[in-house]
Amino acid sequence: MESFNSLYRMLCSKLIHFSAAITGSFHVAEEIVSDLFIMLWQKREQLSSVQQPLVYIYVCTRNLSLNSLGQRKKHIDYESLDRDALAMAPDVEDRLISTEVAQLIEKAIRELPARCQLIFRLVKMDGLSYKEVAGLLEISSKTVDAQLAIAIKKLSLTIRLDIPEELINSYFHRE
Amino acid sequence: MYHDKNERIWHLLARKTAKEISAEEIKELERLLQQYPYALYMQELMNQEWRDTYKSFNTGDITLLVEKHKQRLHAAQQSNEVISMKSTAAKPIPRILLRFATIAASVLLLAFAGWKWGIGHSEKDPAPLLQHLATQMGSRSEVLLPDGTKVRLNAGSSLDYPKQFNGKTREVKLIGEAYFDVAKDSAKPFFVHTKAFTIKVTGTVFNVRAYSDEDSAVASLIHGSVEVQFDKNKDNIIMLRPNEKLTVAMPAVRPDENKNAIPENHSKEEKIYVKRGAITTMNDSTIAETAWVQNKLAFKNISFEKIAASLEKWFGADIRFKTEGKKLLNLTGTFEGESLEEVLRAFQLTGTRFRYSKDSEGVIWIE
Repeated sequence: MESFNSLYRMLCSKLIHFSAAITGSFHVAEEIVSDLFIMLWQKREQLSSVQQPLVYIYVCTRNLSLNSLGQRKKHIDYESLDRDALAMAPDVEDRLISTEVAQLIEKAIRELPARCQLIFRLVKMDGLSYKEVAGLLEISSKTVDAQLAIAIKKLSLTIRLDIPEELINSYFHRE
Repeated sequence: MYHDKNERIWHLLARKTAKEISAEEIKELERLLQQYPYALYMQELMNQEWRDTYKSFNTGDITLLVEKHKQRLHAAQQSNEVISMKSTAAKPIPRILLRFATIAASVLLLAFAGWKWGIGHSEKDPAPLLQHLATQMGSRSEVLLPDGTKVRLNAGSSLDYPKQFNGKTREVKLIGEAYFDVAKDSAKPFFVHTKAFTIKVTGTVFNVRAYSDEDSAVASLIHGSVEVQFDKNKDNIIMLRPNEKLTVAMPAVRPDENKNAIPENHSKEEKIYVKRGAITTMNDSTIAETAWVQNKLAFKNISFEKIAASLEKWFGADIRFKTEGKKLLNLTGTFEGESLEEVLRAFQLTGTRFRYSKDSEGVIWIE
Protein backbone atom coordinates (compact mmCIF):
# COMPACT_ATOMS: atom_id res chain seq x y z
CA MET A 1 0.00 0.00 0.00
CA GLU A 2 2.96 2.27 0.69
CA SER A 3 3.90 1.97 -2.98
CA PHE A 4 0.46 3.11 -3.99
CA ASN A 5 0.62 6.02 -1.60
CA SER A 6 4.01 6.99 -3.00
CA LEU A 7 2.60 6.80 -6.49
CA TYR A 8 -0.27 8.99 -5.39
CA ARG A 9 2.17 11.48 -3.85
CA MET A 10 4.12 11.57 -7.10
CA LEU A 11 1.21 12.02 -9.45
CA CYS A 12 -1.51 13.77 -7.44
CA SER A 13 -0.59 17.35 -8.33
CA LYS A 14 -0.42 16.55 -12.06
CA LEU A 15 -3.61 14.50 -12.12
CA ILE A 16 -5.56 17.01 -10.02
CA HIS A 17 -4.60 19.80 -12.41
CA PHE A 18 -5.59 17.66 -15.38
CA SER A 19 -8.92 16.75 -13.80
CA ALA A 20 -9.56 20.33 -12.66
CA ALA A 21 -9.07 21.52 -16.24
CA ILE A 22 -11.94 19.25 -17.28
CA THR A 23 -14.22 19.63 -14.26
CA GLY A 24 -13.46 23.28 -13.55
CA SER A 25 -13.07 22.54 -9.83
CA PHE A 26 -9.97 21.65 -7.82
CA HIS A 27 -12.20 20.37 -5.06
CA VAL A 28 -13.94 17.88 -7.34
CA ALA A 29 -10.61 17.01 -8.99
CA GLU A 30 -9.06 16.15 -5.63
CA GLU A 31 -11.86 13.68 -4.88
CA ILE A 32 -11.73 12.17 -8.33
CA VAL A 33 -8.01 11.47 -8.13
CA SER A 34 -8.34 10.05 -4.63
CA ASP A 35 -11.22 7.83 -5.79
CA LEU A 36 -9.14 6.69 -8.72
CA PHE A 37 -6.28 5.56 -6.49
CA ILE A 38 -8.69 3.74 -4.20
CA MET A 39 -10.03 1.97 -7.27
CA LEU A 40 -6.50 1.14 -8.49
CA TRP A 41 -5.69 -0.30 -5.08
CA GLN A 42 -8.80 -2.43 -5.09
CA LYS A 43 -8.18 -3.68 -8.61
CA ARG A 44 -4.44 -4.11 -8.17
CA GLU A 45 -4.45 -7.79 -9.08
CA GLN A 46 -5.97 -7.12 -12.48
CA LEU A 47 -3.56 -4.32 -13.29
CA SER A 48 -0.76 -6.59 -14.45
CA SER A 49 -2.32 -6.73 -17.91
CA VAL A 50 -2.25 -2.95 -18.33
CA GLN A 51 0.04 -2.06 -21.23
CA GLN A 52 0.74 1.63 -20.65
CA PRO A 53 0.19 2.21 -16.92
CA LEU A 54 0.62 5.97 -17.03
CA VAL A 55 -1.77 6.36 -19.95
CA TYR A 56 -4.21 4.08 -18.14
CA ILE A 57 -4.14 6.33 -15.06
CA TYR A 58 -4.63 9.47 -17.13
CA VAL A 59 -7.43 7.90 -19.18
CA CYS A 60 -9.18 6.86 -15.96
CA THR A 61 -8.78 10.40 -14.61
CA ARG A 62 -10.20 11.80 -17.84
CA ASN A 63 -13.18 9.44 -17.82
CA LEU A 64 -13.99 9.98 -14.15
CA SER A 65 -13.75 13.74 -14.70
CA LEU A 66 -16.06 13.62 -17.71
CA ASN A 67 -18.46 11.38 -15.78
CA SER A 68 -18.61 13.89 -12.96
CA LEU A 69 -19.91 16.42 -15.45
CA GLY A 70 -22.75 14.06 -16.26
CA GLN A 71 -21.38 13.52 -19.74
CA ARG A 72 -21.48 10.17 -21.41
CA LYS A 73 -18.99 10.91 -24.14
CA LYS A 74 -15.39 10.03 -23.69
CA HIS A 75 -13.85 12.97 -25.47
CA ILE A 76 -12.60 16.12 -23.86
CA ASP A 77 -14.38 19.25 -25.02
CA TYR A 78 -11.34 21.43 -25.52
CA GLU A 79 -13.32 24.63 -25.77
CA SER A 80 -14.68 24.24 -22.24
CA LEU A 81 -11.33 23.42 -20.62
CA ASP A 82 -10.52 25.56 -17.60
CA ARG A 83 -7.44 27.46 -18.74
CA ASP A 84 -6.51 28.48 -15.21
CA ALA A 85 -5.91 24.90 -14.15
CA LEU A 86 -3.53 24.47 -17.09
CA ALA A 87 -1.65 27.73 -16.52
CA MET A 88 2.09 27.35 -16.10
CA ALA A 89 5.34 29.30 -16.46
CA PRO A 90 9.06 28.78 -16.01
CA ASP A 91 9.96 28.81 -12.34
CA VAL A 92 11.39 32.25 -11.57
CA GLU A 93 13.14 30.79 -8.56
CA ASP A 94 15.57 29.22 -10.98
CA ARG A 95 16.68 32.81 -11.55
CA LEU A 96 17.24 32.30 -15.25
CA ILE A 97 14.39 34.68 -15.95
CA SER A 98 12.65 37.64 -14.41
CA THR A 99 9.07 37.65 -13.14
CA GLU A 100 8.20 39.88 -16.07
CA VAL A 101 9.38 37.34 -18.63
CA ALA A 102 7.60 34.52 -16.80
CA GLN A 103 4.36 36.50 -16.95
CA LEU A 104 4.73 37.16 -20.66
CA ILE A 105 5.25 33.47 -21.29
CA GLU A 106 2.29 32.51 -19.13
CA LYS A 107 0.11 34.94 -21.07
CA ALA A 108 1.32 33.60 -24.41
CA ILE A 109 0.49 30.05 -23.30
CA ARG A 110 -3.03 31.07 -22.36
CA GLU A 111 -3.46 32.46 -25.86
CA LEU A 112 -2.63 29.12 -27.49
CA PRO A 113 -5.56 27.03 -28.74
CA ALA A 114 -6.84 24.98 -25.79
CA ARG A 115 -5.82 21.61 -27.19
CA CYS A 116 -2.36 22.93 -28.00
CA GLN A 117 -2.01 24.27 -24.43
CA LEU A 118 -3.07 20.92 -22.98
CA ILE A 119 -0.58 19.01 -25.14
CA PHE A 120 2.20 21.39 -24.21
CA ARG A 121 1.39 20.95 -20.53
CA LEU A 122 1.18 17.17 -20.69
CA VAL A 123 4.64 17.02 -22.25
CA LYS A 124 6.44 19.73 -20.30
CA MET A 125 4.76 19.58 -16.91
CA ASP A 126 3.56 16.00 -16.67
CA GLY A 127 6.52 14.54 -18.56
CA LEU A 128 4.42 12.34 -20.84
CA SER A 129 5.97 10.98 -24.04
CA TYR A 130 4.52 11.63 -27.50
CA LYS A 131 3.10 8.13 -27.50
CA GLU A 132 1.48 8.60 -24.10
CA VAL A 133 -0.12 11.93 -25.01
CA ALA A 134 -1.28 10.40 -28.29
CA GLY A 135 -2.83 7.45 -26.45
CA LEU A 136 -4.58 9.69 -23.94
CA LEU A 137 -6.00 12.20 -26.40
CA GLU A 138 -6.61 9.62 -29.14
CA ILE A 139 -4.58 11.44 -31.74
CA SER A 140 -1.43 10.43 -33.62
CA SER A 141 2.10 11.00 -32.29
CA LYS A 142 2.64 13.12 -35.38
CA THR A 143 -0.12 15.49 -34.29
CA VAL A 144 1.42 15.75 -30.82
CA ASP A 145 4.76 16.64 -32.40
CA ALA A 146 3.13 19.24 -34.66
CA GLN A 147 1.09 20.82 -31.84
CA LEU A 148 4.08 21.01 -29.53
CA ALA A 149 6.11 22.69 -32.30
CA ILE A 150 3.31 25.25 -32.73
CA ALA A 151 3.35 26.00 -29.01
CA ILE A 152 7.11 26.38 -28.91
CA LYS A 153 7.13 28.57 -32.00
CA LYS A 154 4.50 30.85 -30.52
CA LEU A 155 6.39 31.20 -27.25
CA SER A 156 9.68 31.85 -29.02
CA LEU A 157 8.08 34.59 -31.07
CA THR A 158 6.74 36.15 -27.88
CA ILE A 159 10.25 36.12 -26.55
CA ARG A 160 11.61 37.68 -29.72
CA LEU A 161 8.95 40.38 -29.99
CA ASP A 162 8.13 41.26 -26.43
CA ILE A 163 11.33 40.72 -24.54
CA PRO A 164 14.13 43.25 -25.02
CA GLU A 165 17.29 41.85 -26.50
CA GLU A 166 19.40 43.13 -23.62
CA LEU A 167 17.43 40.94 -21.28
CA ILE A 168 18.20 37.88 -23.33
CA ASN A 169 21.81 38.85 -23.86
CA SER A 170 22.28 39.56 -20.18
CA TYR A 171 21.26 35.99 -19.51
CA PHE A 172 23.91 34.60 -21.82
CA HIS A 173 26.64 36.76 -20.40
CA ARG A 174 25.83 35.95 -16.80
CA GLU A 175 27.30 32.55 -16.01
CA MET B 1 14.61 28.55 -47.42
CA TYR B 2 14.88 30.80 -44.38
CA HIS B 3 11.29 30.05 -43.57
CA ASP B 4 11.76 26.30 -43.84
CA LYS B 5 14.78 26.27 -41.59
CA ASN B 6 12.91 28.35 -39.10
CA GLU B 7 9.99 25.93 -39.03
CA ARG B 8 12.39 23.05 -38.64
CA ILE B 9 13.91 24.52 -35.49
CA TRP B 10 10.55 24.45 -33.66
CA HIS B 11 10.03 20.81 -34.41
CA LEU B 12 13.50 20.01 -33.20
CA LEU B 13 13.00 22.05 -30.04
CA ALA B 14 9.66 20.34 -29.47
CA ARG B 15 11.30 16.93 -29.77
CA LYS B 16 14.12 17.96 -27.46
CA THR B 17 11.59 19.15 -24.86
CA ALA B 18 9.71 15.86 -25.06
CA LYS B 19 13.01 13.91 -25.05
CA GLU B 20 12.00 12.41 -28.37
CA ILE B 21 14.99 13.72 -30.28
CA SER B 22 17.58 11.58 -32.08
CA ALA B 23 21.34 12.11 -31.88
CA GLU B 24 21.37 13.31 -35.46
CA GLU B 25 18.61 15.82 -34.81
CA ILE B 26 20.48 17.19 -31.81
CA LYS B 27 23.43 18.08 -34.06
CA GLU B 28 21.08 19.70 -36.52
CA LEU B 29 19.42 21.69 -33.74
CA GLU B 30 22.76 22.92 -32.41
CA ARG B 31 23.69 24.24 -35.84
CA LEU B 32 20.37 26.03 -36.21
CA LEU B 33 20.43 27.51 -32.71
CA GLN B 34 23.60 29.45 -33.48
CA GLN B 35 21.60 31.53 -35.95
CA TYR B 36 18.72 32.31 -33.62
CA PRO B 37 19.66 33.60 -30.17
CA TYR B 38 16.05 33.85 -28.99
CA ALA B 39 15.55 30.18 -29.88
CA LEU B 40 18.60 29.39 -27.79
CA TYR B 41 17.00 31.29 -24.92
CA MET B 42 13.80 29.32 -25.51
CA GLN B 43 15.76 26.10 -25.31
CA GLU B 44 17.15 27.14 -21.93
CA LEU B 45 13.64 27.91 -20.71
CA MET B 46 12.43 24.53 -21.84
CA ASN B 47 15.32 22.88 -20.04
CA GLN B 48 14.46 24.36 -16.69
CA GLU B 49 11.72 23.53 -14.20
CA TRP B 50 8.27 24.99 -14.75
CA ARG B 51 5.59 25.51 -12.16
CA ASP B 52 1.83 25.85 -11.93
CA THR B 53 0.87 29.48 -11.77
CA TYR B 54 -2.79 29.28 -10.83
CA LYS B 55 -2.75 26.75 -8.04
CA SER B 56 0.59 25.39 -7.09
CA PHE B 57 0.94 22.60 -4.52
CA ASN B 58 3.99 22.82 -2.26
CA THR B 59 5.39 19.90 -0.31
CA GLY B 60 3.12 20.69 2.63
CA ASP B 61 0.03 20.73 0.43
CA ILE B 62 1.03 17.40 -1.09
CA THR B 63 1.56 15.86 2.34
CA LEU B 64 -1.90 17.05 3.33
CA LEU B 65 -3.40 15.59 0.14
CA VAL B 66 -1.66 12.28 0.81
CA GLU B 67 -2.99 12.22 4.38
CA LYS B 68 -6.53 12.94 3.22
CA HIS B 69 -6.22 10.25 0.57
CA LYS B 70 -4.93 7.71 3.09
CA GLN B 71 -7.94 8.34 5.27
CA ARG B 72 -10.35 7.89 2.39
CA LEU B 73 -8.53 4.73 1.33
CA HIS B 74 -8.70 3.43 4.87
CA ALA B 75 -12.43 4.10 5.05
CA ALA B 76 -12.91 2.34 1.72
CA GLN B 77 -10.93 -0.66 2.92
CA GLN B 78 -13.01 -1.04 6.06
CA SER B 79 -15.98 -1.80 3.86
CA ASN B 80 -13.96 -3.96 1.49
CA GLU B 81 -11.88 -6.28 3.62
CA VAL B 82 -12.34 -9.31 1.37
CA ILE B 83 -9.76 -8.10 -1.10
CA SER B 84 -6.78 -8.34 1.19
CA MET B 85 -7.73 -11.78 2.54
CA LYS B 86 -7.47 -13.76 -0.69
CA SER B 87 -3.99 -15.19 -0.46
CA THR B 88 -1.83 -16.46 2.34
CA ALA B 89 1.51 -16.03 0.58
CA ALA B 90 2.99 -13.28 2.69
CA LYS B 91 6.51 -12.20 1.93
CA PRO B 92 8.13 -8.99 2.99
CA ILE B 93 8.34 -6.56 0.12
CA PRO B 94 11.85 -5.77 -1.11
CA ARG B 95 13.01 -2.43 0.20
CA ILE B 96 13.95 -1.26 -3.28
CA LEU B 97 10.38 -1.41 -4.48
CA LEU B 98 9.35 1.03 -1.82
CA ARG B 99 12.06 3.44 -2.75
CA PHE B 100 11.31 3.94 -6.43
CA ALA B 101 11.83 7.45 -7.58
CA THR B 102 10.86 7.96 -11.16
CA ILE B 103 7.65 7.92 -13.09
CA ALA B 104 9.22 5.25 -15.22
CA ALA B 105 8.61 2.77 -12.42
CA SER B 106 5.70 0.90 -13.84
CA VAL B 107 2.40 0.59 -12.07
CA LEU B 108 2.70 -3.08 -12.71
CA LEU B 109 5.64 -3.44 -10.37
CA LEU B 110 4.08 -1.11 -7.87
CA ALA B 111 0.80 -2.94 -7.96
CA PHE B 112 2.63 -6.17 -7.28
CA ALA B 113 4.60 -4.63 -4.43
CA GLY B 114 1.50 -3.02 -2.95
CA TRP B 115 -0.41 -6.25 -3.26
CA LYS B 116 2.18 -8.22 -1.37
CA TRP B 117 2.46 -5.59 1.29
CA GLY B 118 -1.29 -5.49 1.72
CA ILE B 119 -1.45 -9.19 2.41
CA GLY B 120 1.49 -9.16 4.77
CA HIS B 121 -0.14 -6.35 6.65
CA SER B 122 -3.56 -7.92 6.99
CA GLU B 123 -2.10 -10.98 8.66
CA LYS B 124 -0.12 -8.99 11.15
CA ASP B 125 -1.31 -7.73 14.46
CA PRO B 126 -3.55 -4.73 13.81
CA ALA B 127 -1.87 -2.72 16.59
CA PRO B 128 -1.71 1.02 15.87
CA LEU B 129 1.41 1.82 13.88
CA LEU B 130 3.26 4.84 15.11
CA GLN B 131 3.81 7.57 12.56
CA HIS B 132 6.78 9.86 12.92
CA LEU B 133 6.89 13.31 11.37
CA ALA B 134 10.06 15.36 11.73
CA THR B 135 11.14 18.70 10.33
CA GLN B 136 14.68 19.82 9.56
CA MET B 137 16.11 23.07 10.81
CA GLY B 138 14.88 25.84 8.52
CA SER B 139 11.72 24.05 7.34
CA ARG B 140 8.18 23.61 8.58
CA SER B 141 5.48 21.07 7.87
CA GLU B 142 1.80 20.38 8.26
CA VAL B 143 -0.09 17.18 8.95
CA LEU B 144 -3.70 16.13 9.26
CA LEU B 145 -4.09 13.53 12.01
CA PRO B 146 -6.52 10.62 11.53
CA ASP B 147 -9.14 12.36 13.72
CA GLY B 148 -9.09 15.55 11.63
CA THR B 149 -6.83 17.49 13.99
CA LYS B 150 -4.54 19.87 12.11
CA VAL B 151 -0.95 20.20 13.27
CA ARG B 152 1.64 22.67 12.02
CA LEU B 153 5.13 21.58 12.95
CA ASN B 154 7.81 24.25 13.33
CA ALA B 155 11.47 23.80 12.35
CA GLY B 156 13.60 21.19 14.09
CA SER B 157 10.62 19.43 15.68
CA SER B 158 9.10 15.99 15.67
CA LEU B 159 5.67 14.53 16.30
CA ASP B 160 4.78 10.90 17.00
CA TYR B 161 1.18 9.86 16.48
CA PRO B 162 -0.63 6.58 15.84
CA LYS B 163 -1.95 5.65 12.41
CA GLN B 164 -5.35 5.30 14.03
CA PHE B 165 -6.65 6.68 17.33
CA ASN B 166 -8.02 3.48 18.86
CA GLY B 167 -9.04 3.40 22.50
CA LYS B 168 -10.47 6.07 24.72
CA THR B 169 -7.88 8.81 24.22
CA ARG B 170 -5.96 10.49 21.44
CA GLU B 171 -2.30 10.78 22.38
CA VAL B 172 0.66 12.31 20.57
CA LYS B 173 4.23 13.07 21.55
CA LEU B 174 5.94 16.33 20.67
CA ILE B 175 9.54 17.47 20.73
CA GLY B 176 9.94 21.07 19.58
CA GLU B 177 7.16 23.43 18.59
CA ALA B 178 3.73 22.81 17.08
CA TYR B 179 0.42 24.57 16.59
CA PHE B 180 -2.60 22.34 17.19
CA ASP B 181 -6.12 22.80 15.91
CA VAL B 182 -7.73 19.86 17.67
CA ALA B 183 -10.87 18.32 16.21
CA LYS B 184 -13.65 18.34 18.78
CA ASP B 185 -14.45 14.99 20.39
CA SER B 186 -15.34 15.31 24.04
CA ALA B 187 -15.56 11.54 24.43
CA LYS B 188 -11.91 11.16 23.39
CA PRO B 189 -9.63 13.69 25.06
CA PHE B 190 -6.52 14.70 23.14
CA PHE B 191 -3.16 14.57 24.96
CA VAL B 192 0.08 16.21 23.88
CA HIS B 193 3.04 14.79 25.77
CA THR B 194 6.19 16.89 26.01
CA LYS B 195 9.21 16.48 28.21
CA ALA B 196 8.01 19.30 30.48
CA PHE B 197 4.29 18.65 30.75
CA THR B 198 1.26 17.00 29.25
CA ILE B 199 -1.61 18.98 27.79
CA LYS B 200 -5.13 17.62 27.83
CA VAL B 201 -7.86 19.10 25.61
CA THR B 202 -11.06 18.08 23.91
CA GLY B 203 -11.26 20.53 21.02
CA THR B 204 -9.29 23.74 20.86
CA VAL B 205 -6.48 25.75 19.25
CA PHE B 206 -3.16 26.11 20.99
CA ASN B 207 0.59 26.33 20.50
CA VAL B 208 3.24 24.33 22.32
CA ARG B 209 6.94 25.10 22.36
CA ALA B 210 9.07 22.48 24.06
CA TYR B 211 12.47 22.17 22.39
CA SER B 212 14.90 19.93 24.20
CA ASP B 213 17.74 22.46 23.87
CA GLU B 214 15.78 25.28 25.50
CA ASP B 215 15.47 25.88 29.22
CA SER B 216 11.74 26.44 29.29
CA ALA B 217 8.58 25.14 27.63
CA VAL B 218 5.55 27.26 26.80
CA ALA B 219 1.91 26.38 26.16
CA SER B 220 -0.17 29.22 24.64
CA LEU B 221 -3.92 28.98 24.28
CA ILE B 222 -5.69 30.71 21.38
CA HIS B 223 -9.22 29.54 22.04
CA GLY B 224 -11.06 26.76 23.84
CA SER B 225 -9.56 25.50 27.06
CA VAL B 226 -6.62 23.33 27.99
CA GLU B 227 -5.46 21.53 31.05
CA VAL B 228 -1.73 21.38 31.73
CA GLN B 229 -0.59 18.38 33.73
CA PHE B 230 2.78 17.58 35.21
CA ASP B 231 4.00 14.05 35.03
CA LYS B 232 5.14 14.04 38.61
CA ASN B 233 1.73 14.70 39.99
CA LYS B 234 -1.36 14.13 37.94
CA ASP B 235 -3.62 15.79 40.54
CA ASN B 236 -1.83 19.07 40.18
CA ILE B 237 -3.19 20.62 37.04
CA ILE B 238 -3.40 24.15 35.71
CA MET B 239 -6.29 25.27 33.52
CA LEU B 240 -5.55 27.96 30.94
CA ARG B 241 -8.01 30.50 29.58
CA PRO B 242 -7.88 31.84 26.01
CA ASN B 243 -5.00 34.29 25.38
CA GLU B 244 -3.07 32.92 28.31
CA LYS B 245 0.21 31.11 28.30
CA LEU B 246 2.07 28.98 30.73
CA THR B 247 5.86 28.99 30.87
CA VAL B 248 7.49 26.07 32.58
CA ALA B 249 11.14 26.05 33.41
CA MET B 250 12.70 22.67 32.88
CA PRO B 251 13.47 20.93 36.17
CA ALA B 252 16.60 22.31 37.84
CA VAL B 253 16.64 25.40 35.64
CA ARG B 254 14.90 28.54 36.87
CA PRO B 255 13.16 30.91 34.49
CA ASP B 256 14.96 34.12 33.58
CA GLU B 257 12.46 36.41 35.17
CA ASN B 258 11.14 34.56 38.16
CA LYS B 259 9.65 37.45 40.07
CA ASN B 260 6.16 36.14 39.46
CA ALA B 261 7.14 32.53 39.34
CA ILE B 262 5.31 30.27 41.73
CA PRO B 263 7.37 27.37 42.94
CA GLU B 264 5.06 24.39 42.90
CA ASN B 265 5.88 21.50 45.14
CA HIS B 266 5.30 18.37 43.19
CA SER B 267 7.56 16.19 45.21
CA LYS B 268 10.14 16.68 47.86
CA GLU B 269 13.16 16.20 45.65
CA GLU B 270 12.05 18.23 42.63
CA LYS B 271 10.62 21.70 42.15
CA ILE B 272 9.06 22.88 38.92
CA TYR B 273 8.83 26.58 38.25
CA VAL B 274 5.84 27.73 36.30
CA LYS B 275 4.71 31.19 35.29
CA ARG B 276 1.29 32.08 34.06
CA GLY B 277 0.86 35.17 31.88
CA ALA B 278 -0.84 36.75 28.91
CA ILE B 279 0.19 35.87 25.39
CA THR B 280 2.24 38.56 23.66
CA THR B 281 0.49 40.78 21.15
CA MET B 282 2.56 42.89 18.77
CA ASN B 283 1.64 46.39 17.55
CA ASP B 284 0.03 44.99 14.40
CA SER B 285 -1.97 42.55 16.60
CA THR B 286 0.15 39.60 15.52
CA ILE B 287 0.40 37.11 18.36
CA ALA B 288 4.11 36.53 18.94
CA GLU B 289 3.72 32.94 20.16
CA THR B 290 1.92 31.80 17.01
CA ALA B 291 3.38 34.20 14.42
CA TRP B 292 5.42 31.34 12.95
CA VAL B 293 2.22 29.66 11.79
CA GLN B 294 1.73 32.61 9.40
CA ASN B 295 5.40 32.34 8.38
CA LYS B 296 6.29 35.34 10.53
CA LEU B 297 8.80 35.84 13.27
CA ALA B 298 7.75 38.14 16.13
CA PHE B 299 9.72 39.09 19.23
CA LYS B 300 8.71 41.52 21.94
CA ASN B 301 11.35 42.36 24.51
CA ILE B 302 13.05 39.02 24.16
CA SER B 303 16.68 38.42 25.02
CA PHE B 304 19.08 38.21 22.09
CA GLU B 305 20.10 34.77 23.32
CA LYS B 306 16.56 33.41 22.94
CA ILE B 307 16.07 35.20 19.63
CA ALA B 308 19.28 33.68 18.31
CA ALA B 309 17.99 30.22 19.29
CA SER B 310 14.77 30.91 17.34
CA LEU B 311 16.64 32.27 14.32
CA GLU B 312 18.92 29.23 14.28
CA LYS B 313 15.94 26.91 13.97
CA TRP B 314 14.05 29.15 11.57
CA PHE B 315 16.90 29.64 9.11
CA GLY B 316 18.83 26.47 9.85
CA ALA B 317 21.82 28.63 10.88
CA ASP B 318 24.51 28.46 13.53
CA ILE B 319 24.67 31.65 15.62
CA ARG B 320 27.19 32.14 18.43
CA PHE B 321 28.14 34.98 20.72
CA LYS B 322 31.70 36.31 21.02
CA THR B 323 30.59 38.86 23.60
CA GLU B 324 28.54 37.22 26.35
CA GLY B 325 26.96 40.54 27.35
CA LYS B 326 25.15 40.80 24.01
CA LYS B 327 23.06 37.77 24.96
CA LEU B 328 21.20 39.88 27.47
CA LEU B 329 20.07 42.63 25.04
CA ASN B 330 16.31 42.76 24.80
CA LEU B 331 14.97 43.13 21.25
CA THR B 332 11.62 43.68 19.54
CA GLY B 333 10.62 43.13 15.90
CA THR B 334 8.28 41.39 13.46
CA PHE B 335 9.60 39.79 10.28
CA GLU B 336 8.04 38.13 7.29
CA GLY B 337 10.06 36.86 4.35
CA GLU B 338 13.28 38.56 5.43
CA SER B 339 16.60 36.75 5.21
CA LEU B 340 18.67 36.13 8.33
CA GLU B 341 21.02 38.98 7.40
CA GLU B 342 18.08 41.32 6.88
CA VAL B 343 16.74 40.46 10.32
CA LEU B 344 20.09 41.15 11.96
CA ARG B 345 20.49 44.39 10.02
CA ALA B 346 17.01 45.49 11.08
CA PHE B 347 17.94 44.97 14.73
CA GLN B 348 21.05 47.09 14.18
CA LEU B 349 19.01 49.80 12.50
CA THR B 350 16.63 50.01 15.44
CA GLY B 351 19.54 51.06 17.58
CA THR B 352 20.78 47.84 19.08
CA ARG B 353 24.57 47.98 19.25
CA PHE B 354 26.20 44.80 18.04
CA ARG B 355 28.18 43.53 15.09
CA TYR B 356 27.89 40.24 13.26
CA SER B 357 30.17 38.37 10.90
CA LYS B 358 30.15 35.04 9.14
CA ASP B 359 33.20 32.81 9.30
CA SER B 360 34.40 30.36 6.66
CA GLU B 361 32.28 27.57 8.16
CA GLY B 362 29.12 29.62 7.93
CA VAL B 363 28.87 30.30 11.68
CA ILE B 364 27.46 33.74 12.47
CA TRP B 365 29.28 35.48 15.30
CA ILE B 366 27.67 38.24 17.34
CA GLU B 367 29.90 40.74 19.16
